[in-house]
Amino acid sequence: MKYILLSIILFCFTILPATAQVRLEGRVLAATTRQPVTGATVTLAGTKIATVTSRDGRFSLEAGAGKYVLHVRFIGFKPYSSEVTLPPKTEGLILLEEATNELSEVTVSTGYQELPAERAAGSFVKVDHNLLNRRVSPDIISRLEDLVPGLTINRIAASNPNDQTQISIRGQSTISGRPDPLIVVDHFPFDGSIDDINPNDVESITVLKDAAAASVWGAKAGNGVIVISTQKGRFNQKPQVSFNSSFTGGGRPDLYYQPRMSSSDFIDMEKYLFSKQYYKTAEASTSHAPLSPVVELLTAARDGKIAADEADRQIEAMKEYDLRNDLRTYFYRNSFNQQYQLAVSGGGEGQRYYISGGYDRNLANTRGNQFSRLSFTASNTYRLLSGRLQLSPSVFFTQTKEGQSTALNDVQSKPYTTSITYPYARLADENGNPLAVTRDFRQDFVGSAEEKGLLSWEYRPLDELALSDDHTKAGDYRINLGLRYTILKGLSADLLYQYRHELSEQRNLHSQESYYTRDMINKFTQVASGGTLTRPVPRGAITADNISRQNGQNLRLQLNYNYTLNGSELSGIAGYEIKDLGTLASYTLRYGYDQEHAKAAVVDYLSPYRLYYSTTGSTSYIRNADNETDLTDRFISYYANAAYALKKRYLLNGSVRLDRSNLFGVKTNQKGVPLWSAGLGWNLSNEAFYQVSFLPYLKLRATYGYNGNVNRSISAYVTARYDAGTSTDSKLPYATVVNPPNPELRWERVQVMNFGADFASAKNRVQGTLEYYRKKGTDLIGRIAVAPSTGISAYTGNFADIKGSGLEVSLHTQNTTGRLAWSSDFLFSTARDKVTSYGATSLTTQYLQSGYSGTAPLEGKPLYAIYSYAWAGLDPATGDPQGYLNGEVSKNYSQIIGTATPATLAYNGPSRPQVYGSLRNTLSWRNLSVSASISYRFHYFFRRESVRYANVLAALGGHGDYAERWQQAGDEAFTSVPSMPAYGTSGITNRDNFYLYSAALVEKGDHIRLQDISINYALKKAALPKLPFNTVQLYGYINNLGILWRKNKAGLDPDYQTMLPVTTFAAGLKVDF
Amino acid sequence: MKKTILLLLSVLAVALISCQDKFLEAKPDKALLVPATPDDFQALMDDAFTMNTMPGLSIISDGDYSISDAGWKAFSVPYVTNSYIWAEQIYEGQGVTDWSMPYQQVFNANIVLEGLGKLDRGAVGDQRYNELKGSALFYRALAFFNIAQTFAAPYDKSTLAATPGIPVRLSSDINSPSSGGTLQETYQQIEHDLLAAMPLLPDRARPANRPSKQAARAFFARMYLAMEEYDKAERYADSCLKVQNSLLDYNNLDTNSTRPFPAVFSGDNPEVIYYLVLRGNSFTVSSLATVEPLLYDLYQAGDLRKKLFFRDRGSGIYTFKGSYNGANTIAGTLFGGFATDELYLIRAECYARRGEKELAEKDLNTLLSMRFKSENFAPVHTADAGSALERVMLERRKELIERGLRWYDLRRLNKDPRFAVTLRRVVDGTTYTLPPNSARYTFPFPDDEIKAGGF
Repeated sequence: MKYILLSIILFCFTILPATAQVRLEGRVLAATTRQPVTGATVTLAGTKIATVTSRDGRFSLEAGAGKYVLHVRFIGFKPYSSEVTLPPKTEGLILLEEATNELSEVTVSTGYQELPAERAAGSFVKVDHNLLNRRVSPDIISRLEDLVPGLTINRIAASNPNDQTQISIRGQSTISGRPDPLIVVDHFPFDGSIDDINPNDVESITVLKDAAAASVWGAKAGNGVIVISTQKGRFNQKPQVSFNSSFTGGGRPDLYYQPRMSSSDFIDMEKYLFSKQYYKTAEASTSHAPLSPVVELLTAARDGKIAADEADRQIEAMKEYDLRNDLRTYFYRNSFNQQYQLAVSGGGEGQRYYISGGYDRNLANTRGNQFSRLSFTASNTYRLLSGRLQLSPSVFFTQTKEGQSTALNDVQSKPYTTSITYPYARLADENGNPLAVTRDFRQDFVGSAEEKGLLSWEYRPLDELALSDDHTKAGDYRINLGLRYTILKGLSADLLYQYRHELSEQRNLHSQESYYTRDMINKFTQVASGGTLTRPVPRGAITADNISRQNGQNLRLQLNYNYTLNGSELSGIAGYEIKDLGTLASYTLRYGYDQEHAKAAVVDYLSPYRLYYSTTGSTSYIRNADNETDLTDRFISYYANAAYALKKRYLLNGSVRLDRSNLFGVKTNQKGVPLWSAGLGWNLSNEAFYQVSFLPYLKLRATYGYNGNVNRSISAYVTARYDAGTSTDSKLPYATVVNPPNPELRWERVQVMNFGADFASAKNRVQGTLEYYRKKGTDLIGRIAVAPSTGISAYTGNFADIKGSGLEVSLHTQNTTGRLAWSSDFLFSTARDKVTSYGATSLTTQYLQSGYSGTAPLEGKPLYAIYSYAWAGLDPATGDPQGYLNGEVSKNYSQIIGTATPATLAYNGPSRPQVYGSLRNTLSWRNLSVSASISYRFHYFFRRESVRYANVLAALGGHGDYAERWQQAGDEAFTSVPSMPAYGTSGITNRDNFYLYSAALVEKGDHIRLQDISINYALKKAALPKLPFNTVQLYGYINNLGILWRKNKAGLDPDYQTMLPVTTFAAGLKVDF
Repeated sequence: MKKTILLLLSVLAVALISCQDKFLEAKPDKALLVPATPDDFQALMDDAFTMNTMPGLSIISDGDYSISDAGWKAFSVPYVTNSYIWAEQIYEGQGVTDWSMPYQQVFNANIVLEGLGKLDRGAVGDQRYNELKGSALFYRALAFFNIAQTFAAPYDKSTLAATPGIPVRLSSDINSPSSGGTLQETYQQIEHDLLAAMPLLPDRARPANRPSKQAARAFFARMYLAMEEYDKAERYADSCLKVQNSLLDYNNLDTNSTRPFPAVFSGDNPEVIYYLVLRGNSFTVSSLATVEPLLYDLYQAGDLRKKLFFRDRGSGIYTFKGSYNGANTIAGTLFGGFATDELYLIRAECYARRGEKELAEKDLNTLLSMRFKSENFAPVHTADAGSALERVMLERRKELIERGLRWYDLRRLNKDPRFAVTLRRVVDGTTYTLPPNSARYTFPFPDDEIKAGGF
C-alpha cells in the first residue's frame, strides 16, 4: 500500500502557493460496512500534500486556502475524488466504495493479452485470489466449482476415459474428442499434471467461455479455456513475506452406503448352488480353480472328509463375518493433508519479483496411498532501456512423489472366481494377525505347495500392503523467458519462450514375499522327470519401471498495438506461435531383482513353459512387457485479435486464427483449420441519454464465432501399429490396423453465439451478469458401430452435429451493510444439448448402456441420456418383472429386448444436470467472516443399481436389493425387485437386463447439497499494534457436508452411487509479515 | 538497438515459417505407420491371431461332443447356450467374433490388394509382389469360404442362384454398403480369388501361417468336396499329395502326454500344410465337455488315437487333446488348418465315389498304418466301392474330429439318405433334435450385422 502512496506522491508535484496554511480534516469510511478505512492515501491534486488515514480512518492536511481536488485511494476501493475548498466548512466524511466485483476494474487474461473487462465483448469470468482461497484443497481446479456460471465438475467419474479434469464448460462440445477445457498457465497451454500447480501460487483464474473470448486459442478452444495467472511481485513494493499453512482431515468412508448381499444370503446361495451341482465345473477344473471356504466345507462334508454337523457349524460361524468391517479397520484410515507455503514478493523501480516455496503432504484415506509435493516458483521482471525493454524470466519447479497401493483393489476385485472376494472373507483373526484368503487356487493345492518345494502360495491381503512398493516420482520444471520491446508509442513486440521438462519415474516393486511374485515364480516352476524343480522365473523381486520424459518448447512472437484518439481506443495483437512437445516413455519389467545390489536376472521370454498348476500341461511364456513409446505433438498457429472501443461506448472485437498440426497421415495443406470470431458491445450506461438511476451500470454485448477441437487419434489414411510379435506362437513381427481409411476427415468446429448483459445497481448493491448462448458443433468426430462385415467393428469419422444452448445468471447482492455485512452470490446455469445429426445407429442395448459414457448418441436427444424399457410391475403370481411387447404386458424378455428400437424405448431424460448452480452467503462481522455454499443440480436422471440374478446364481453375490426381492404374492405392493429365478432357468440374462434397464430403476437426480462452510478471522496490525505481523488470518473449512434435499426416495446421492465423499475439516493460518 | 531487435525478430520469423512443413511431417507416434511398403503388407498378413482364425461355433452344434446339464447351465454366453440346443435365434443381441474375425481378414486382404496396386511392381520385385498378392487373395478366399460354411446355406447346385450368400466385400472402404448377393456369387468369388492366387504363391511356405501353393491345393480340395464336385476335389487332393504325402507316425508319440502333438510352428509335424485355429469359446475349452460315448467306442482296440486324442478325466468324461496346434501353443486351441491326413481322406472318398475301391483302400491303409500300433494294424478290405465309401466316411469322422469339419460333412452328407443323421440331445429334461437339412444348419447372421448392415 505504502508504495502506491509513494508512487502517487512521486507523480504529484507542483509548487506550493506561499499562502497561510489551513487545516483540512476528515474521516474515510467504507461505503457498505461503515468501517473506518485505515491506511488510505489522501492527496490534494496538483500539490505534494498527502497523508495516510489513521486507525479510525481520520486524516488531517494543511494547505493554503483555495480550491483543490481531493484524491483518496486505497486498495480494494474505487478511487475517490472531489473538489474541496479550503478552508473547509465542515469535517469531511468520505465514503469509499468497495471495488470488489467492480466490473470496470477487472482485467481479464486470455493468455495472449491482459484485457480490461470493460472493453471486452466476449464471455469472461474472472475468479480472484480471495475467492479461490476460500476453499482449502491441494489442487487448484476443484476450487473453481460453484464459482463460475456454466462450469460444472462431472461427478460421475470415468464416464469418458478422455475426460481428465472432469470439468465441463457449458456442456460438452465434442463426442469422442477430449472433453476437457484447455488449461493455460500464464501464457502457454499446460501439458503437465494439473496437480503440479500449487494453488497458493495462483493469483487469479479467467475462464473463457464464448467464441470471442476463446477463439484466440483456436483449435484447442472448443471446450472453453481456463487461464491460470500466477502470482507476480509489484514494482515499488517493499519485500513482503507471507506464510500459509493448513491441515485437512477426514474420516473413513462409509463402506455400507452401497447395499451388498449379506454374508448370510451369500452363503445360503452357495449352499443352494452346491445342491444344484454348480461347482462341478470348478471341481473338475484343469487348473485347480478355487472354491470358496464354504464350498470347500460342503465338498468335504459330501466326500465324508468332515462331519456334516461340524461343517454346518463352521459355515454358520462364517455368516457373522463381513469383509467390509475388516477393510474399514485395516485398509482405510483417516485422511490427513498438510499444506505449507512461504512466499516473498516485492520490487523496486526497475524490477519486481515473486519467490515462493511450498510443501504438501497428503495421506489418503486408503492405506498405502499418499502424495507429497514440493514446489518452487521464482518470477522476475526487469525494466531495461528506460522501460522500453521488459525482461521477465521465471522458473517453476515441482517435485511430486505419489505412493499407490493396489492391495485394497486386489482384495476387493481379484480373488476367487476372478471377479470378487467372498463377502465373509476375514483379513485378520481376533488378535489382528493376517489371515489367508482364497484367491486363485483350491485350498489343498495352495496348502501343499511348500511341501512340494514351491514358495508359499498363500494370499494374505493384509501382508500385501507392506510387500509391494509402487510409487511415482516426478520432477517438472518450466523455464520461461518473456521479452517485451516497445518499438514506438503504442507498438510493442513480445517474444515469449517456454522450455518444459518433466521426468516421471514409476517403480512398482513386488518383493519376493509378495503374492504377485510368489505366484509368478510358482506358476513357472518346472518339474523335471526326476522331480527336481527349476525356476524359469527366478527368486527375487519383480519390478516394473515406467519412465516417461517429456520435453516441451513453446515460442511466440507477437506484436501489440494500442492507439488512443479522442477517447476512442484501438488495440490489437498479431502473432505466430510454434509448439513442439515430445514424450518418450519406456516400460521395463525385471525378474529376479535384487534390491540390495540393483541386479536383475535374465529370463527366457522365448520358450513356452508348462504352467505348474495346469493339469493339462497348458503352457505360457514369461511375460515380456518391455516397451517404448515415442510421441510428438506439434503445432504451428497464426493469430490476430483486435478490439476497438469508440468513446468508451461502442465495442467491436474480432479475431482470426489458423492452427496446423502434425496430424498423422494427412497432407500438410489439409492439416490446418481457420477459425474466427467477432463481437459487439455497448456500454449503454455511458450514453448521455442513459438516465436510469437504479441501474447506473449497464452493458450489452453479443458475439459470434468458431472454436475448434483437435482429435489427434485418427487419420484420413489407414493406419496400423507394429508389434514385435514376441508373445505370439509364430514369433513373427506383425501389424494391426488401428484406423480404417477415411479420406473425408475434417477438424471439428464449434460455432458459438453469445448474448450478455452486465449491470450494477446504485452503490453496487446488486451486480450481475446475464448471458445466453447457443452453440453448434459441426463435423464432430463420432465412433459408430458398423456392420462387422466391413472388417471393423467401430469406425470413427465426422459423423455428428450437436446443438447446445443455455442461460447463465450470476448475481452478487449486498443484502445488509454496516457492522454485520451480509452478501449473497447466486449462480444459475442451464445447459441443454441435443445431438442433431449422427451418422449411424447403435444397437438398442447400447443406448441403454451408455447413459453416462455418451458413446451411443441418438439424434434429437442429449449426448448423455438415460433410456429404459417401459415397466409394467412385477407379476403378482411369480414376482417376474413385466414389460410391454406390442402394447401388451409381457414377460417375453428376449422378444422385448430383441424387438426394442430407440423409438420404442422410454427416454427418461439427460444424465447430466441441465440446470445447476449455487448460492453462497457471506456474513462478515468485524474481522470475522463466515460463508456457506449450497449447490444444486436439477433436471437429470440416473439409473439406480440393483441385483443381477445371473451373478447371484454364479456365486458372485450382488446388490443388497437381493434382500428386498419379491418372495411371495403380495410383495409386489412394496417392492419392484423381481423374485429370484431358480438355478438353471434359461433366459436369466435377458430377464436381468430387462429389469436392470427398466424404468423401475430410473430416478430423478435433482438435489440440493450443502457443499461447504468457510470461516475466516483476520487480525490486522492496524487494529492491534502489538501484533508482530501485518495480518494474521485464521481460517477453517468444512467440505462435503451432505445432501439437504433430494428428489429420489431411495436415499441415494445421485452423483455418488458406490461411495459417498467423506466430510473433511480443514484449519489453517496465513501470516503476512 | 531497436533495429537490431527488429531484425532479429524478422529473421527468426522467416526462419521458422520456412521450415514448418518439415516440422509438421513428424509422426505423432513412432509406432504408427500407413501400410505402404511390402514389409508393412507382410506384417498385416502375419498377424496370425487375426488372419489364421476360422469360425468355431459349429463345434458346439456338431454333436460330437456333449456336456452335462450343470455344465450347460453354467455357460454365460448366449450363443454358446443356444447353439448347443440348436435354437433358431442364438445371439441375444451380442456380436460374435466367429463372424467378425474372418471379415477382418477380408479387410486386411483388401488393404494389401489396394496398396499393392499403388506400388511399382518392378521396384518391389516380381516374386515378392506375387507372393504378397497371392497371399492376400488366398486369405480373402479362405475367409469367405469359412464364413459361408457357417453362416450361409449348404452348397446345393440346384438352388444356388436363388440362395442368399454372404456379404462379399472387395474394397476396404467401409463406407460402401455391405450387401449379400447370392450364394452362387459367393462361391464364384472364392473360386476366382483362389484361382488367381494359385500361380502367384510360393510352392511351400514357412512358417505355417503363410499361404502357399500347397495350401491353395488343399483349400481347393476341401472346397470342392463341400461343393460335391468330387472330380475336382480328387484332382487337387492328388496334386497336393504329390508334393507332400508325409504322415506323422503316431507310434512315435507319447500317449500319456497331455499335449502329445508337436507344436505347429516347430515344423515337426510333417502333416501340417497350413495353420488355422478354430475360434474358441467356453464350450471348446470346457473340461466338462466329453466326446460322445458312441463315437469314442468307434475307435478300436490298438487305435493309438484313442489315447492320443482323448484324455480320461474319470466319471466317463473324455476331453480332447489331439489338436495339431500342438504343445507349444499358448492356450488349448483347436486346429482347423490343412494337413495331409485330410487330403488322403478326401482323395479316398473321391476314389470310392467313382468306384475305385482299391485306390480308396490304399489311401485309407496308408493313413491308418500310421494311426494304429504297428502290431495291431490290419489293412482295410471292403466288399465294394459303396462299402469303401462308408468306411472312408467313418474314418473321416474319427480322424478329423474337432477340426470343425464334421459340421461341413453333416451339411453335405445329409442330402444323401445313406449318410443322413438326426442329431439329438436331452438337456435338462428336454429333447432337442436337429433333423437332416434343417434350416438351423445355417447359423443366422449376427444381430449387429443385421442391424448395421441393413439386412
